[in-house]
Amino acid sequence: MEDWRRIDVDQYDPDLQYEPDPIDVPAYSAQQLDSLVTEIRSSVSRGDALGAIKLCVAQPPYGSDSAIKTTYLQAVLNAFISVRQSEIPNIVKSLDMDETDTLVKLLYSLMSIKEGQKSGGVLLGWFDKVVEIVGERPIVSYVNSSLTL
Amino acid sequence: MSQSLKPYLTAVRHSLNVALCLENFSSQIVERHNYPEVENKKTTEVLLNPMMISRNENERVLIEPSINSVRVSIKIKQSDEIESILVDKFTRFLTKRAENFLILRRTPIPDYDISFLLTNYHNEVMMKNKLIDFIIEFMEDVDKEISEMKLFLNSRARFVAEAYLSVFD
Repeated sequence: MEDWRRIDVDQYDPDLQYEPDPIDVPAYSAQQLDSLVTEIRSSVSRGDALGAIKLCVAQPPYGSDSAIKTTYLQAVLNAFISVRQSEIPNIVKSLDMDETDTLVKLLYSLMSIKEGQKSGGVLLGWFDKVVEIVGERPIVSYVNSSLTL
Repeated sequence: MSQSLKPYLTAVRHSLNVALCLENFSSQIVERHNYPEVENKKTTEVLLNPMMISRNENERVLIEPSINSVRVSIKIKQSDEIESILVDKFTRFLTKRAENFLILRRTPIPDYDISFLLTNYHNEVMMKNKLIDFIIEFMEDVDKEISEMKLFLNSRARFVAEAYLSVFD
């Protein structure tokens, strides 16, 4: 008989026997993501900054696994870096409420990964402009959101 | 103030302002207990998303909000070995006297140099904007302090070396 004293009895606790409700979140497979990433890249190279940012904030892969999220964030980071400082206010002004919320969410996620930290100055510039224009609402929505990257 | 420091501090200020909406909250696990929820992390529904604000790879702030407490951890800039020694000594000096600082946490969380724990009690007896100002001011001053100490240390080391080695001249 196995060592019954070492069995973790807490795992049979009835309170822990539930499965979390499935939340309907957008998840991408690798191929779908590839096409989105190339689309973002092509608008960046065309110089269409607003289009690139709009694509970034349209449907982030909240439900995907971390590898896909990282690829996505990398593409978003490139889009953020490519925008000139002077263009940021106009772009932020032309985004609607949900889009600015997602923008701030992406900024926070980027600042917590290594690649994003390397270009922290750019991200902070974005953050500064967003807060200046729309206030603290997007931060509140980020803090309370269950959909994270 | 340097160009990149200002957006960094404003980001921290706004994030803290959002995080510091605290209320009294008794433990749901143990009766008659009242923990800072961010510390025991047993009730996941009252924990909010942590915010990491980074200026570069070795300078960042992590703000972990919850219903009745906020944990603010700061990674202070350390560009060389002398600076990391100075930061270590400096933070140790502060954390040893943590009870005098009220909001200071006795040990920093891993990967960070110094942590603050703000609870709803602090929020009740102290003004929220002053608390935020304190943390911002701390972040501003600590960099200055460390670089000043480094300069002082170098000039002192040079002086000592000259005094000792002049014998062999």
